[in-house]
Amino acid sequence: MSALSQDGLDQFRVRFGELARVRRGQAVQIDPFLIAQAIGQVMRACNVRSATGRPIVWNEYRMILARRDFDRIWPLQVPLERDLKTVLAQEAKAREAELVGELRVTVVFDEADELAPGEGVVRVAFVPTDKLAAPRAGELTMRLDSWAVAGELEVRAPAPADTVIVDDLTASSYLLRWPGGEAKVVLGATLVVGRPHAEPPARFIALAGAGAKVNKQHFWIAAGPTSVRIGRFAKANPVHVNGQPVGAGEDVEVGLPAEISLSRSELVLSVQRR
Amino acid sequence: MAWFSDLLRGGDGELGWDDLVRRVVDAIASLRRYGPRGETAFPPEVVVRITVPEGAAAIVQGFLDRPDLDREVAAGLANRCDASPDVLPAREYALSIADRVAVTASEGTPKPWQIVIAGGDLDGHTLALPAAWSELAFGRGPWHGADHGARNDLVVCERTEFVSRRAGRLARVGHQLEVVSLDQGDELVVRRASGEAIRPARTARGRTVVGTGDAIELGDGRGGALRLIVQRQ
Repeated sequence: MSALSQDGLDQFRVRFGELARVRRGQAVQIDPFLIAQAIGQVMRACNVRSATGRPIVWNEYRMILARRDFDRIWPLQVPLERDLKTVLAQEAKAREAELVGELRVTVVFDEADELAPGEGVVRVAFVPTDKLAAPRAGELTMRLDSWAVAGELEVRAPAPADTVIVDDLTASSYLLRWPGGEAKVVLGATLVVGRPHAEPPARFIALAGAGAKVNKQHFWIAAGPTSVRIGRFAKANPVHVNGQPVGAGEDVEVGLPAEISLSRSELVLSVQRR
Repeated sequence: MAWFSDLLRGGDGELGWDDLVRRVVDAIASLRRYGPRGETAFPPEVVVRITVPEGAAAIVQGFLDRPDLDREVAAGLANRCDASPDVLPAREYALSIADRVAVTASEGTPKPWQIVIAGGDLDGHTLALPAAWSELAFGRGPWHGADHGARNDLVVCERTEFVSRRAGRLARVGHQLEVVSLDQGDELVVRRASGEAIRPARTARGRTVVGTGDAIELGDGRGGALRLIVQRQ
């Protein structure tokens, strides 16, 4: 019997006894190496290709073990998941395969207690990661698990205690206008724009009066000396700039003035010089 | 020759898994009709009544409570009647105690399911599940996906942000429901009336049975949850 069999399009069953080549009836000790072998075989079983024929492999893997097996491997879970990511990244590179997002590997136990000891299930998925604008000089993007935070590095010379640092909003800027208000877009800054909500990100423009079709983080805008760059977040509703659609997760650079339409004219904004 | 076939099957009081599947398929297949172009047709809903001696009732109830049984019945019925799974009737199983084993099927109208929402912006609303259905998608708002191309059959909230637009899917298997977590991931928990909690995303089959009185909890990751309480009218 094969060590790996496909249960469905997104699920594989693993028989660790076959994988470790132990005698039938003999208990198998599941270790990180066996788990890595099993997930590696699952990755190799992915036969999805891009339009250009390049292989694309799943980037999310969840290994489900019988509770008894999991209890034995649990103390090793942190290094196991870390090492698995390394091994799988090497495997993807060796296959010259594309990943639609960051590799995610988790090992859990079967909460329904339906798995026999020595058996496992690997569930796979494509989970795209939001593409952020490439950081420019002086900017830093940090990704904390699935959350991304982007902003400028602010380095100031040590100042005496009586120094007052004034927010430089009077610097050269553009004006973003919509029916419910207006906001300044400071030159060089990247701002997130969306519907008002609790706990907004740093450098956020809240579109007062925006309806539910406008996302909380709908698009970002970065002002350059002669143009603005506008990017649509990957999960945001449609964005049109000067009548042209912007793809999910993509961005465009346009001159001024510019018109930005959100969610098929649900809210129309304009960007112009002050 | 009935005594002889009984003998081969193990006697009147015996009803194993394979026997049960075969006899249920036989019973439902007897309701097969043909449409105007000769296509196979069934009533939309059938009730399968199973009688067994008292000593076998617990075992047979255990079989009926396993979703695999209804899946095997569906596969067997599709093969026997050379029919697409889409045209098979929704099946409901009723077990009772009698002297002899008997399996009969009749056209029926099983009790409809409903879901009571507790929490979120639709708190207190009741969603009646349609009469003939096999799978229902549920989540936040009526539409989801790129350019709102996909639809939720059950809208469990409109603005409760921690509920995913494509939260999960309910499937009907025999007299039970199964729930699958989609974008809600590990934050979809089935909490049984007994207090047991199971996350379908962390099970080998990726789906969990939900019965009357159980709740499907859609969590916010910080202890809060919107609860969907499953009931039968």
